[in-house]
Amino acid sequence: MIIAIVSGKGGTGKTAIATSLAAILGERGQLMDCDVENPNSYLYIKPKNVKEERATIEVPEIDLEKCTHCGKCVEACQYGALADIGAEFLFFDKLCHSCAACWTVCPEDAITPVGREYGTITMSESAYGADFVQGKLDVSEVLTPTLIYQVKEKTDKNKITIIDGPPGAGCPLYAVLEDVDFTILVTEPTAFGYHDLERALELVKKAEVDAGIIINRSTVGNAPIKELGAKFNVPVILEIPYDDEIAKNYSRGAMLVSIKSELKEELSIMLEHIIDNTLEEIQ
Amino acid sequence: MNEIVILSGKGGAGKTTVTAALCALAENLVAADCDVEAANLKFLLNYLPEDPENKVEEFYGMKRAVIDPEECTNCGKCEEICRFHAIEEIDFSRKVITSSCEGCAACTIVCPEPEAIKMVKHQAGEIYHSKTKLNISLVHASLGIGEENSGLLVAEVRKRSGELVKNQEIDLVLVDGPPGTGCPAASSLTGANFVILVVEASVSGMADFHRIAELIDGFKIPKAVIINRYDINDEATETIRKYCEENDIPLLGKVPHDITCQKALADELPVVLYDKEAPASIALIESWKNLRETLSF
Repeated sequence: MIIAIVSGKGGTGKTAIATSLAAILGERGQLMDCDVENPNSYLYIKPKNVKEERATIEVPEIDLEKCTHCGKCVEACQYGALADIGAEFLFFDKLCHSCAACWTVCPEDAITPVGREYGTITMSESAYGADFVQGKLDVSEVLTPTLIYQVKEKTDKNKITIIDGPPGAGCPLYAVLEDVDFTILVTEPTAFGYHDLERALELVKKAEVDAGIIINRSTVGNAPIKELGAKFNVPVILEIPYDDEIAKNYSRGAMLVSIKSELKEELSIMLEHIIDNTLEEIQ
Repeated sequence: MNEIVILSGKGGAGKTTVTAALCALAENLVAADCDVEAANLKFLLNYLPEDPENKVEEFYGMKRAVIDPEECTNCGKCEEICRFHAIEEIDFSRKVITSSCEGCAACTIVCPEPEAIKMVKHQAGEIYHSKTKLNISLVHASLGIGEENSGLLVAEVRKRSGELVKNQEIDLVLVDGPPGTGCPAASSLTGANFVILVVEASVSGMADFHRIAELIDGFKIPKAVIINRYDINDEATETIRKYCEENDIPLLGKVPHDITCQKALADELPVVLYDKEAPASIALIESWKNLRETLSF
């Protein structure tokens, strides 16, 4: 089973919830940090026995001996990543989406796909029993959804996988929601939280995934989150009031479930109902 | 002319709160919201969605593949070549999942039927010029739900704000940036001459600060720091302050955790206009003064 934690707006508490759920699951769980531009779960879940591998994408390598300068590859590339200046080819690696068009169209078999590193995938155990997988895009790389797909290939089907998702409601979030069984949307009841949640809910609807909403810092605003959820048939499954003690300890790397034991209890009950598909019982 | 981008790496660090406050303190500027997946600056600048002078433009990203089920023989070659999980089989025909298609057209190369796959213009969002009650011209945008091309849309927003600057002889553009370090963040930096990094005083705020700082250094753009919610974590604040000092990064200000920011948001006002005596406002006014000194304008 895969449960994704997403939000629309950043900074609402995705990572706090994801790491806590992974800790509650312990050895039954696998935490997967798919916020590959800013992965932060590791700060809280404390990985150990870390194995790293470099993530690669295929990019073209052109054999100038075989190339007849027919121009088909340059024409085929929709991203402007190839330019033929006669004596040599210019390849702009950051523009390449690794789509395979150039080596597929080449009539001379002059283009070979070769690996280019663009990120790191780490696999580890954690101090809380759950396995931990993290994707981290190299700075200045932009193929966020591609890396998310590669990280998700590490899903352990025998475990309950908790995905810490990216902010926004664009292609990275869409990449996360594919093949997910349940989505938890973490929001705050401010105008920003409301607006961004609405966009995330539209995407969750489009991806046809079951979902529930956690209102974090539920006392900082009055935006009608419940009503918004109801419009999309998505229930509010937990409210966490603002608490200075949580804010201060969490900012120092403490796990949410270690800061407040009653919160651990509430999250555990919520999680079991999600796993058993009996959420209506706690509404 | 100064084009200043406000970034943070981490979401929710306070970019929009800071941007709106600086917009309220500056005069004669254009505001641009480059967080096209979650554009919120308009709320704090009190935009006037119905103003007759507002403009809306359609935004077209990359073309997308469309398969004609009448011509498709369901051979599956397109699905095999597609690197973006964008083609699936439905009712004995291949179909494109538009949200996943990145417009590479590799499928059109391998398809044996000349008429089966066409690359079609695709609207991926909208761009707006809006009037605001604060009398600031705001350029903002909305990326379609789940769409690609956020980087392209960010570039279009920047281009539009550049045009406004030329027409109105304005000398300042304030850009509310997107979170992350990927495509939209990189795109918001092209053409900027200064970056303000809003850093949340927390372990994750610091981790993300170092990643976004590396991206900015790659662009060779000078930067300054505002620490937000500094009083939540004094040790983190001290670490950031020291780092800034050692690396010659101007520290423009330290903004405390202040519930007034939430109240101002509920009233749709920049915090410095909601209550200029509030602790957060005092810190932001100080930051603005320091910014003007740093850039001598």
